Amino acid sequence: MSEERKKVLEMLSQGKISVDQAEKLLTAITGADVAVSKDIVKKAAKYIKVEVKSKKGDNVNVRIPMQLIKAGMKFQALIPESARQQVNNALAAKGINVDIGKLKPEDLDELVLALSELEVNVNSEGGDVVRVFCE
Amino acid sequence: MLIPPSLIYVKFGRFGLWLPVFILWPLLAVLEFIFLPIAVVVGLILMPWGRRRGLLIIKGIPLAMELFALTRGLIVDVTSHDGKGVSLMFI
Repeated sequence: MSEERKKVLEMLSQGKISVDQAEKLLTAITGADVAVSKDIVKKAAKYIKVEVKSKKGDNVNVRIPMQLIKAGMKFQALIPESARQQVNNALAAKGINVDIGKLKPEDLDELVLALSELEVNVNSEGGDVVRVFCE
Repeated sequence: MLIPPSLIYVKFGRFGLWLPVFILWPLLAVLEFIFLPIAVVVGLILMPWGRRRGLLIIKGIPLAMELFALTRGLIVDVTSHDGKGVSLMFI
């Protein structure tokens, strides 16, 4: 819970502000948080990078622009219904219960925001290193 | 405004090649200018036989151009321990 939210709730509990005033303040704080988060997404997470370095000397370096991923997801609207159902069934078989036909542009922004905090580091016993992160 | 990649670097094995893609920009713009109205008309005609089919035809060209423009910054680099590998960079 952020400090601002705590202060608002403390003021409400002490009777310094009414419930309506507290609600307005919390709404304003939430809106500011979302705006800052989106700003952070705009400034930061431009690329998703995958780096693999094996002990033998084999290297893989892939950098994908986030905007490309977002644009690629727009193609889901053009997938025929039969193919879309097959994709949904395949995802459900893996335990992922999502309908790709219901993805909206707002969902993509949330997904990119979530991906911006993604970082995966794997170090194997053989000395191989795998990193997945956003920059 | 989306700016397509200017250069594409392709490398197979030990040989690399810089492709000046910016030379194709005017040609791509002309092709889109010519084919987009045709695609819109064809898509609208085919709409009664399938909304998704019509939309695919209408939106296909702009989406393809947008995807191509957004490849700027894409890097795929696979190098083996003996120096051979495949690289693809959109700059």
